[in-house]
Amino acid sequence: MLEVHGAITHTNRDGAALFDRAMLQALPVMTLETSTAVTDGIRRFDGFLMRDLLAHVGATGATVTATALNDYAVAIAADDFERFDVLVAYAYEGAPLQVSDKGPLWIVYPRDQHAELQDIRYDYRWVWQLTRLDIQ
Amino acid sequence: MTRPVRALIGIALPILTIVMFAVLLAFSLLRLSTIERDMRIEATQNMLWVVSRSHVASLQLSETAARRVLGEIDQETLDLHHQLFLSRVALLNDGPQRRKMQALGFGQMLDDFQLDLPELAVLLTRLEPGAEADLPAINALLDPFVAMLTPASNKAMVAEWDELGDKLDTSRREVWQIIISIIGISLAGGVLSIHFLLTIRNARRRARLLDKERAFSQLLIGSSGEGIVAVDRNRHCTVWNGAAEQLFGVPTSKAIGEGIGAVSGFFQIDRIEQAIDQALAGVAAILPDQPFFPPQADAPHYLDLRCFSLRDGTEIIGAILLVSDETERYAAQRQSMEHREQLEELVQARTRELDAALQRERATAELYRHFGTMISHQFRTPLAIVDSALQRLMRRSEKLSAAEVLDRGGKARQAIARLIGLVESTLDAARLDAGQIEIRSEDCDLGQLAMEVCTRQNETTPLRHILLDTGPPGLMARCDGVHVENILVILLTNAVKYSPPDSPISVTVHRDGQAIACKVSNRGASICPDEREALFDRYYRGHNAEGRPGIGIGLYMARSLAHMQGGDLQLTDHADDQICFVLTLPRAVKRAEPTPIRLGETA
Repeated sequence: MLEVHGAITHTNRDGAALFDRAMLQALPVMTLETSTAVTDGIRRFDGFLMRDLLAHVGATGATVTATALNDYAVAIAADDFERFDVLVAYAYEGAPLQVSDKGPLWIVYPRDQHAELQDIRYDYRWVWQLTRLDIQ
Repeated sequence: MTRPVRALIGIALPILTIVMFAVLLAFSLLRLSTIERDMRIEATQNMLWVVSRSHVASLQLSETAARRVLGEIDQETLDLHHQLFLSRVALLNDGPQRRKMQALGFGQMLDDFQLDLPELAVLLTRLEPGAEADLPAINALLDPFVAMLTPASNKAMVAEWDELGDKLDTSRREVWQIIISIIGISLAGGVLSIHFLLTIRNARRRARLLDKERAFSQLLIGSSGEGIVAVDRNRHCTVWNGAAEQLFGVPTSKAIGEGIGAVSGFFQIDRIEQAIDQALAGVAAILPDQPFFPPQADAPHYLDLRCFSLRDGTEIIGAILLVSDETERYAAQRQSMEHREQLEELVQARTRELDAALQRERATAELYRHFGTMISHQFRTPLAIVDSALQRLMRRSEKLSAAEVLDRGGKARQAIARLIGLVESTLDAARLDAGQIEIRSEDCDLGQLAMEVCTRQNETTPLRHILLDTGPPGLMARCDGVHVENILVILLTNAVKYSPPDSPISVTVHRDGQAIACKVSNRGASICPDEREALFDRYYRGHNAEGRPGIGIGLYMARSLAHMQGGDLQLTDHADDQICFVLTLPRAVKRAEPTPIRLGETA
């Protein structure tokens, strides 16, 4: 469901860490309620903190490149995950995210909690249909 | 320009400028905040990208389906692309994107396409490699969507650019407004700055003037010879000048801020406190010549105190006390008063002296008048007698017998003898006045003297009955015997002269305390009170002396002689028709041998 490559210390296959749904759900569960740039109203997201994931894989890089199923790729400074409680959501409004919507994983910033995140330069970091992370 | 107009401009101009300043500033801030808000770009505004990604997804799905038919890819990959395509369609139909599409005029088309999705899903699910016949159906379903997205992307691009252009126009306009506002603010700021600089300069000038005036006032207060003291409403001292320091002996540093009563006891005196209260109530008070005892001084100072209200507009904020030291003036006033009293006394003394002199002059005039009267009466009578005797002798010289001549001659001589007696008496008085009479005091037996005088009187007037009582033997007086004899002769002669011929005359010698007295009394008409003392005046003759010879000198001589010997002669109270003179003489110190001689009544 998610592959993590690059500067990580804990791997489970060929220098990469691969996760299925169960493994991801084993990470500390976090809930975040926020509005988004592409939907109306406040939405509920369930998932885990990107910070926890990176810690889990022993990531040491400064940049995380997130890649989506449609090959959309964005480089995100690892610093973001320290400054904000950035969520990797696997459930939206209580239901698992589907690929036909924005699943299976959606990077969600706490937009309503920090005014500075209500900015187009953060909006493009909301990667949906996330499938791979590369740590550099 | 008139003063009110200038004042109005002085106040209105800065206020207007400040209002303008504030309005422009608020406007600029408002504009800036609008710009700040407008500068945010929403992701939804990036519609072009959303549309293009959907376009790509639909084309990829179409291509993936073709490759599946060719057997190049498996069903799973096709499903993934199908899912990705569906996610794009869902995104376009979601909230903001949907509204944007509707605005661009593609809402209906999206709804129509939504209806085709189940059919597309069925077609894609059962697509098998080599099933080329299905491809046209799939493409037929996808084509309207792809066809829609091309103009959609165009319209989105145009809309976004228009919107961006509008936004930029708006922002530029707003920036211009801000620039103009800032110019306005700058101008207002400049005007205000100039105004404030001018105000500061004026304030400094005014402050300098005030300082100068204050310094001058302080100089005035300090230079005043009068003590100037001011108190506030709580009677705390606020002004205490140099003169007050000297008057009360309290330095300014100890007086300022203190309660006025605590500074000097002078201000605790009731009437001073009342005066201050009065001044604080708005009524001036003036207290002249208030005694004040300065510390280390025994004599009081006299202070004039004037209290006035200190007013700020109509409100009384305190009282001012003007204190002047009037000690010297007070002393001078007192001295001049004493001087005047002395003068008055002097004048009174002089007046008394003058009165006395006048009295003496009058007495002298009276004396000469009495003298003249006496002379005219007493000297004329004997002269007339002598004259008539001589006339008879001359007229009847041939017929007169020797006896008649002798008789006439005798009468004339008697008259002449009386005249000589008068002249001698007058001379005696003159000698008395001139102090030519000598007194040789010795111890004399007054009874003896009285007896001798009575005996002689008896010889002269044998018909008169004299009752003599010499009292106990040896009543010795300190006196000149010759003069006492003269006194007694005068008294006895008067008694004979002024009493009826058949009435007795009584002479009594007795002791009267420390004096020896001899009382001579006779019957006679009572003497009126006015005459009682006048009888002892020289040349005064009582009204009962009319027709009787005498020059009015006897009693005067008698009293004078008595006085000269330390004694006195008084007309004492007498009963009924008795006239009684008492001669008192000092008693002799040594008691003399009692005299055996005792004379009875002489007939």
